[in-house]
Amino acid sequence: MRSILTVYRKELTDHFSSNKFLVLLALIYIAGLSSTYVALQNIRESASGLSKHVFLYLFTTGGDVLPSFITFIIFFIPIIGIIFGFDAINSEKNSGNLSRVLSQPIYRDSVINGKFLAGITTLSIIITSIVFIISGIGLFSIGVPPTSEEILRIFFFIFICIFYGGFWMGLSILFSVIMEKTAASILTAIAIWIFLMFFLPIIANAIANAVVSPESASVADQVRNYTIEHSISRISPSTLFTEAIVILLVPVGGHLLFRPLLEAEVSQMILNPLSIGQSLIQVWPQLVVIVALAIICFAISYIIFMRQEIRST
Amino acid sequence: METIKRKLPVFFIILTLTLSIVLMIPGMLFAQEDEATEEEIVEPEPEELIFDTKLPKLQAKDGETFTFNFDVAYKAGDEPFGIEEGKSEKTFDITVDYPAGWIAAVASGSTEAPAINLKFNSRESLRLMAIPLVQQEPGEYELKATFKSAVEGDTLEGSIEFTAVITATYEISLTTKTGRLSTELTSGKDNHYKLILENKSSKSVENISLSSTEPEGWQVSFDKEKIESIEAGEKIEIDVTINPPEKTIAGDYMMTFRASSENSNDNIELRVTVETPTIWGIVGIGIIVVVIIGVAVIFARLGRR
Amino acid sequence: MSDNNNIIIAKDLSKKYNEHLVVDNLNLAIKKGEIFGLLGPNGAGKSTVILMALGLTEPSSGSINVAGFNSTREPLKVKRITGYLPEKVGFYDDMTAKGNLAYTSELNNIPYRETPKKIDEVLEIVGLSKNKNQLVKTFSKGMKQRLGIADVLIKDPQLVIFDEPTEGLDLKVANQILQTILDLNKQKNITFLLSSHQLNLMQRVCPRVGILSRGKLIGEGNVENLGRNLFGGGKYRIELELEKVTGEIIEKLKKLDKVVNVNKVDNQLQVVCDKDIRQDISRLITDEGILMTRMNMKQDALEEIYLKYFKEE
Repeated sequence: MRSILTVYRKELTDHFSSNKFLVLLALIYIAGLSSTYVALQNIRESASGLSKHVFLYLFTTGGDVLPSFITFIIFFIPIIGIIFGFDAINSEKNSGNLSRVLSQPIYRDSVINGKFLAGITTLSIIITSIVFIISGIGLFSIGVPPTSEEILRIFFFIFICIFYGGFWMGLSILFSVIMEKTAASILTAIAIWIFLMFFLPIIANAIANAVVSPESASVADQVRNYTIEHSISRISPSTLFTEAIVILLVPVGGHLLFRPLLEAEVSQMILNPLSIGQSLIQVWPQLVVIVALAIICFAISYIIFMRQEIRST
Repeated sequence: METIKRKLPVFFIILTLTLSIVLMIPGMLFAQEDEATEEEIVEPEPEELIFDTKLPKLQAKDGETFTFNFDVAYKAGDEPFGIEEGKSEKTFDITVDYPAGWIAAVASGSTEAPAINLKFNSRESLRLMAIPLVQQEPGEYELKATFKSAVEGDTLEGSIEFTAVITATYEISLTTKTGRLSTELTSGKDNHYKLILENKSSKSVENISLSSTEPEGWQVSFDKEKIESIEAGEKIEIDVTINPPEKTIAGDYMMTFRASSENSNDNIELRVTVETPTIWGIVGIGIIVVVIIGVAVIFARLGRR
Repeated sequence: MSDNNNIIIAKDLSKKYNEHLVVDNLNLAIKKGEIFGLLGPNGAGKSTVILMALGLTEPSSGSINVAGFNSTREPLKVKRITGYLPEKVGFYDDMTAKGNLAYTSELNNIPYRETPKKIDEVLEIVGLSKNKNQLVKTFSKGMKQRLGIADVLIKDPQLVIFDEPTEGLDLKVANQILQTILDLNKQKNITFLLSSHQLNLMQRVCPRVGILSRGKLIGEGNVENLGRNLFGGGKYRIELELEKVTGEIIEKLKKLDKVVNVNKVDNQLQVVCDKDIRQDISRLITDEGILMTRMNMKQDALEEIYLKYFKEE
């Protein structure tokens, strides 16, 4: 246990001393602050006087030029995860440090656990600090304190972000375990990210359109088209993550964005905010899958790493 | 014999009548022809002034200018009095009669015209402008414009009469007590604001109701929702309570207050600035400072720089 | 060979990778306080033996014990007393020499207060005191190798396993390293297991060597005996190049005094003997009336072993 802490502390120091951390932190802060600026410009239009969740609009309001904070987050979290994970093991191997460190009286998993924990901690610090800074700015400029429910939602949001980042970190650590070269592991991880984030929705759309013509006038067909497209794009954790945070941070109607809506259903619906309990129930499946994916990715890396031959050459 | 003697004059009368009728018929026919030719020559056509207006009666509020449009035509006739050979116009002096406290004049175009040259047999469009100089009671006021020939010894004259009806005016005005059209509010609290309602009309105004347009979710109330009566010239102070909801985003909002009665209304637009409650401003800055210090401490403790 | 005297004991040690036998039924004992050279060409299985000794990889069969602890089952205990310097030793480039040693010290659970003193002490031994606060990335290969020695000394090891200690170093630096090894062995009574394919350097410091070829220990003992055993004895090797080689002349050479063996390779003859008998040989050849084009003598048995066993790999 002590050796995990030793590795953890050393890795944390490494991260905080690294240029990549500074660049990422600056990037996230700039994105966060500019999106907050835009949100403050537009929040009056988005949040009518009766809205109960004014504070959350800080994170979900975008403008014409710049998107909202959550859009940035959807984009940046995988990058943070990949950047802090892709060279975890293979760079240690290549530099000849790994065999030296493993010849010390420590269990082998201390290394991978310490590294994963340090990466997660760094990610958490980045996300949490920017969310808090945005909250502070929001509190200062709009003068509306968050309700306890909103605070809870924000904490759950941070929690999901960390696990989502953990998934990408686990995935890139997995590549760093099975691939010799750091260039290979980062490119593979980024390729997967690009595929899941950008191409899968296009493919899902194409498949859905191939199965059911989108021009079909029948409502049943359109629902079917939407369902197929949506089911396929849900393979991507980025889709799940997007759904989870939108449902969580947009209590009014956020949960309706990800299902086919029939005219008849909507006309009878009163758009009231969901309670936090209801929101959590709505995102529960997404949440479970994201957490499970994070754990699975890390577990696979862990197992492979534990069975791996550590040679100095 | 007597009967014959008696019957003889009747016979004569009838005979005479019959004869005279038979004899007169051709004469009468001739006489008719003679009459027509005789009049043209004997009685010459007179000079004349003809006035014409479409709206002889106008109604307006006290203080407003009445403008009556009218046409005047001068018919010269056969022998216009006192006109030299070759001339084709005559000068008329214009006088206007108006009630006390008024001022009125005839104008052509935009200029006042105390006299006017009128061409023979032509029309001229003129206006009578009348302005009540002092406050006038509602009612009808007679105005008369008289055109009198300026030629010595000429008796030609004509006139046109108008009626100006002054209606009762009702004017109320809504202003703020400070005169400024902006104010600051704190959300989640009752903010008091003073409005002034003034009756600027000549009569008292009854039944004034106050209303407002405010952003959604705001609560606005007046200390008096309805004002029974306000005397002419009277000022009433109205206390407005504005309560923006707790969740109101800080910033500027527009509000409109309206006072309306049956015959008069006024409204005022107010720009209100909802300020961040100081406590949240401090808490917000506090959070930012704590986070930045936290990150800086982590840097200092963990970074190797 | 009692356990008390031996620090490393390998019994019937075998390791298979995908049915390929890398270490084949190895039996080895290394005495406390000695400098043992494990020699063999690249790919002979030296590194695998070392990894198994440290518990970094599991043997397919057999066992290996270090200081009485089973390396497979109690790797932590083994690693606590064993210093390992991998072939391509690496350090964290962005850390100072001191920082790297402090990390190792922490991984070894050395009390925090003792660490600075310890670091100064080991840097003094390897002569890097002046470079204590220098970043490792500015170090030369030789300095890194010396830092590597300092790194293993931090934990006061009983045994130091040194994989290719002189690989890639120029002769002068290599000799410095070897001298340090000798000094440490003498002063601190540290047992060294040196693995190398550079026999000529090893023979200077290793009184006892084991030769590994294709996973098999083909010879063990002191260098002279080893040569004799392998080639049927004889310290000297005299090579003759003759105009023509006849069976008669081989017989006559064999009958010469002190000759152990005569081998024929093409036109060359190799005379193995216990004494420098070049005069006798040239006399004999001249008497026979055969023209001798070349004759030279090698005293270095290890070099021969190298030629015989290592070159064919």
